Amino acid sequence: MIGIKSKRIISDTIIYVVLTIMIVIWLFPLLWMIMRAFDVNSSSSSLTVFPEEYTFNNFLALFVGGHKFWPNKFPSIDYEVNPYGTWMINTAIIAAGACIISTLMVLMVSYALSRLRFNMRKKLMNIALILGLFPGFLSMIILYYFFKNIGLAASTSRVMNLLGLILSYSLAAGTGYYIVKGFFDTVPMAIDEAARIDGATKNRIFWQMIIPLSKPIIIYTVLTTFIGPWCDFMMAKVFVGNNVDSMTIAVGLQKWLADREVSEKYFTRFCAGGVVISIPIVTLYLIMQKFYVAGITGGAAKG
Amino acid sequence: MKKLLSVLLASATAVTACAGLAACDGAENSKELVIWCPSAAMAVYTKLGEEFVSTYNDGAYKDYTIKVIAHEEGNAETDLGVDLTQGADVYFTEGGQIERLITKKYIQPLTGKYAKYAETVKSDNTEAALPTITKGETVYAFPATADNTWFFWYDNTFFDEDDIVSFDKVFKKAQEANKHIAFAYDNGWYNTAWFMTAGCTMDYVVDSSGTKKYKIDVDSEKGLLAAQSLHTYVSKETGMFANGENPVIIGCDNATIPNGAKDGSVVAGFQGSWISGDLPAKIVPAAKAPKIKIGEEEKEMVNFFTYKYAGVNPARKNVDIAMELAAFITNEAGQAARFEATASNPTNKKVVASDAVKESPIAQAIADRAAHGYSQLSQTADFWSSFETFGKNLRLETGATTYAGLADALKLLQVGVLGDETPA
Amino acid sequence: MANETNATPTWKIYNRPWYLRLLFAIWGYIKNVGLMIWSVIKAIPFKLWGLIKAIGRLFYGLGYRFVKGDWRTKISYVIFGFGCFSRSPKQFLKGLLWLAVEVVFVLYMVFFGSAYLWKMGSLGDVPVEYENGVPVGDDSLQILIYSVFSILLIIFFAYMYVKNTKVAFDTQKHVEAGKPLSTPKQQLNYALNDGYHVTVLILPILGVLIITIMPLIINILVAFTNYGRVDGEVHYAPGNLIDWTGFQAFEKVFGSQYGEAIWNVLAWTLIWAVFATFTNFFFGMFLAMMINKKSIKMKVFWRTCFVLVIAIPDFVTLLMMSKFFSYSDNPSLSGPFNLIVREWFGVDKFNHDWFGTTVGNEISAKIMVIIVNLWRGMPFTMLATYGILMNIPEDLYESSRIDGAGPVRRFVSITFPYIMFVMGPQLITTFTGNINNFNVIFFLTGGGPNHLYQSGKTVGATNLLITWLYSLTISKQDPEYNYGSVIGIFTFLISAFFALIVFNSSKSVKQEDTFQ
Repeated sequence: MIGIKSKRIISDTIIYVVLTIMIVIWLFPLLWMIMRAFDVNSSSSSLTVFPEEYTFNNFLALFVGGHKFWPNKFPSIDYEVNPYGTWMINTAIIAAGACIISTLMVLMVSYALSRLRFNMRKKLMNIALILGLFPGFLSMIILYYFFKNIGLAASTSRVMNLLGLILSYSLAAGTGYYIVKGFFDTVPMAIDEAARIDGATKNRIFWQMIIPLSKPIIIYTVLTTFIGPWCDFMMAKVFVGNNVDSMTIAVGLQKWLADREVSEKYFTRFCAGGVVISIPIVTLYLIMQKFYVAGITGGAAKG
Repeated sequence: MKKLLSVLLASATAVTACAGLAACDGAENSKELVIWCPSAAMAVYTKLGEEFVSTYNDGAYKDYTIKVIAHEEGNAETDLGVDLTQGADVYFTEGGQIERLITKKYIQPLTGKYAKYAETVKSDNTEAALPTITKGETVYAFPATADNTWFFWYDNTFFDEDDIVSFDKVFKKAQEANKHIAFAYDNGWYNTAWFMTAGCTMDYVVDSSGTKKYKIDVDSEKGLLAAQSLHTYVSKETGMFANGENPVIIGCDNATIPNGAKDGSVVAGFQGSWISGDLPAKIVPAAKAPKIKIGEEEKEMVNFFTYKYAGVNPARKNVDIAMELAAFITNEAGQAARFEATASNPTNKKVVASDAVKESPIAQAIADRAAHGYSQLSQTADFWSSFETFGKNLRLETGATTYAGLADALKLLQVGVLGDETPA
Repeated sequence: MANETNATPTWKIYNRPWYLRLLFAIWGYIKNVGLMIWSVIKAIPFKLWGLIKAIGRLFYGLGYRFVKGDWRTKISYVIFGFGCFSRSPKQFLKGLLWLAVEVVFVLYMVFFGSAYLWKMGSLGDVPVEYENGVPVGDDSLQILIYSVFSILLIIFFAYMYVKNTKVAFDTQKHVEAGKPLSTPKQQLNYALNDGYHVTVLILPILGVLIITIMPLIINILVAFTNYGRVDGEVHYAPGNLIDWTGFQAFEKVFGSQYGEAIWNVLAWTLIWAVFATFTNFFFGMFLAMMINKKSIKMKVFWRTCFVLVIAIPDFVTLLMMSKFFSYSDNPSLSGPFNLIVREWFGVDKFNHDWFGTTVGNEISAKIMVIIVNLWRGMPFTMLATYGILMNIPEDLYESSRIDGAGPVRRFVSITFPYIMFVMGPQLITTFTGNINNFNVIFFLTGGGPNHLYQSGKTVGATNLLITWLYSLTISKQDPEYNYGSVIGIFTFLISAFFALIVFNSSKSVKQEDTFQ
């Protein structure tokens, strides 16, 4: 008779084996990409799975490629001084700006819908729900023309382009109130009551009491809205078009890979670009993981 | 309170960052002209641009700067369509797009005060380049190169002179030796050659009442013969290696022939002159394209042969200067420089007659093609995707077009190409 | 009645077989959806009548206030804020603000808005010609955009107009009743306290109006124009004129041009959404259960490994995967996966076109897309179910073990219903999200191997409605914006349908406080 303990050992071993196999399958492509980023052979097809020789050149080429000093060692793509650094700065600025405005918007809307009672409350929530269903695509094209006429998109000024993108990412962020509102709902109303008795205005209650209590969810919102623009492709592409120096990382890397020639001759540079961009995002994501799980289950369970 | 302060601080930093960027950006540069040209030609036009602002016309344009951006000719229409005011001042485009550029008003006609340029264009360039850009009396663009075509490349250690007379011979030799031939059978730019060789038409015609109609007759006897011939070479039924492992004909993009030639797996291919940079020496362009077997006859290969033009964007600020610039980079000196750098056949009569051009091997191949070229005035919007699907369908893993099903496939092809145009 | 018994899972003794309960639950669901749709339809005439009544009340109120108002209030009907600042200096600021609103609006309309509004019917008569780089003529698209913008402003202004009369009238009533008028300080206090919902919501609502609602309306309108290529003629602003065409675009999309294609694309969109959602869910759940098992060590390590996959931005991983499985007729040019199968697993001459790029294998492309999406998305569901699993009280398992239930029974009756309860609404939200999951399809296959339809049109086989929209409008020589808008509206209706189901199910979930 197999005892309970050995039954457990057998099932545990099976699980460990399955887990290891899954980890290998899941992480193998990533490993391949990382190793290719160090590859000397820069074309996309290769006779071996893993590189034969390793080099840091691809990473260096990301930032200095095309410079007059090293025309041969680090050839440029598209004859431009490699814009990867520019793309990173662009995306950083856009993400920072969008993050600040979005978080403020989301907090304000969540507070209003959670704490304050007024006529249009339920209607506003339904409208927000319905608005989220429409594919935002064509709206982007229209928005592009609208902003262009104001001068906030497709202008020769890089600042205006970035500003336009920041606004388009963040001004409508109010509709994403769901999770934060769910969190606010769990904060007991008794706190509000006590403060009201002491004579505080709703404004003061909001800034000085609710916000400090909501640190985890605020951090979650900040991180989510910060990571968003790094990963967004469609909106940035429509707004930026072909202005290479206003592009974000997502648009730029896709441009590299969409261009047949570049993707075949300079594939390893794309890999290096992917690795470089992943490092900060993975770090942020891991930090956010704690808040992420709390955010999903906290918000969803409350319905 | 602390939170408020930190938020304010963060926004202040963001604002200062933007302000800093603005300072670096400088004022909006309205004295800058942008040229869109293919990446292979960027060096040439950058140099010409510098010449334009420094020495041309006694330095009349000293205050301007010319910015050259790499941009393939085929994308000109699409990208101008995104936003005309953000497009280049001078852009290179293909013959097939001119018609639509005119309708959509993306190109500045050489009329009114620009009529003097039209005179120069008409007198300096080869006759054949003009019909595409001339409507009635108005000229619309500046001819730049005459190399918008493709020809046959072969490995001269594998084939000899009489092998390459007929494509059938070439194919059979490669098939027996288990070698690949690179041919973009799924690209309308290439696979239409079979139909054109068979004598099909695919073009706009203007009928007696002046309306434009589209004439295509691939769904016919001629078309069927062409399709059958193509099917024999491309399909998995009859187009595989002697050992049955791989198809003889593989799809062709810019890297296929150079890479394949290096390890010897590709022995022939159909491509344009733009690959001439990377090739190993054993791959040479055939001066005369091989004949193609349609039905039982061997016919001279007919393929697309058009020109590339420089057009001027009407919606930008400096249209006058842009006109000068366009005329400058496509004049005799400009075309000679372009030929020297990228081996692109010129359209300027004097440059064509020069020794450098006459003796280049590619020029001879181009001359051969010019004699058997199908001038691409314009095509319908679904032309390319329909031929692409037709070609791809010959080689599908499941549901491929069989030899027997070619007639139906041709019907669909014709319907697809026509789209919602009126058939002639 | 039937709903209650079947939505409440029991864990004590299983007096009904689990499959019957499942069927009952599904049937209950479908019944609910049907009932809900019916109630929505029933409610429409009532809602309409309510709307008419509201409008009637509005005009009545306007008239009433005019008649009963004194001379100051009557003047307010023409000059905003007059009723306020003319009565007392305390109300000066408030009155001035109202006046400013009116002035700005009038200036806008006179100098800018009315020109566009006037042309809205015809959308311009003279196409734009360029003289020295300056456009001369009517830019149809601009006319459309600014007309809609002006109309929205007019609606806003009408709202302010009515509010203005109310304010004037109330101030008058205040004075008549002898109550003191509010000071600016009191007004500020009101804004920060009782009226806080207005203060705090104004900016977000404005933002949503400009960024989301206005482009949405314009898009819906574009579907009724010929902005695109129709019958061989191009209509692209600003060089050409756009005209209203009524329902022609709809007829073309569902009929002659794309009729066959759109239903195929819809079918695949739904199939894809189902597979994508549920493969991710089940795999994630099983993985979470494995990691969560009490006797497994290094839980954090296992979790972090999988989280790494989602932490990297999806455009990087997806583009990389498309290259990982790349294919070329020349085997030495194929991607690493084919290479691995050839060399490491010794399968001779293995060269499969996974995404159908060359040999057009649609089935392979569709399966691969689902598999890569699983690779990419499973860690999400794993994390979510992991959180839920941690919350299931241990004594439930203990008691069931004592009752003699084996692991399968435990899963079916405790774990699974618990997870479904919490994740249920989220699952359907993920489903609607997957209907619009652009990135996965676009970066992997770009819409997929081309499929030729009997109408002669070619549409990619792995296209979702939304990626098809992209291919019709962006990076195309003759973009078809009007057809794209029609498809956009269609997608919205489909998503709305499923979202209503979410709404319904979360409502019934809310009523379940007797879950335990």
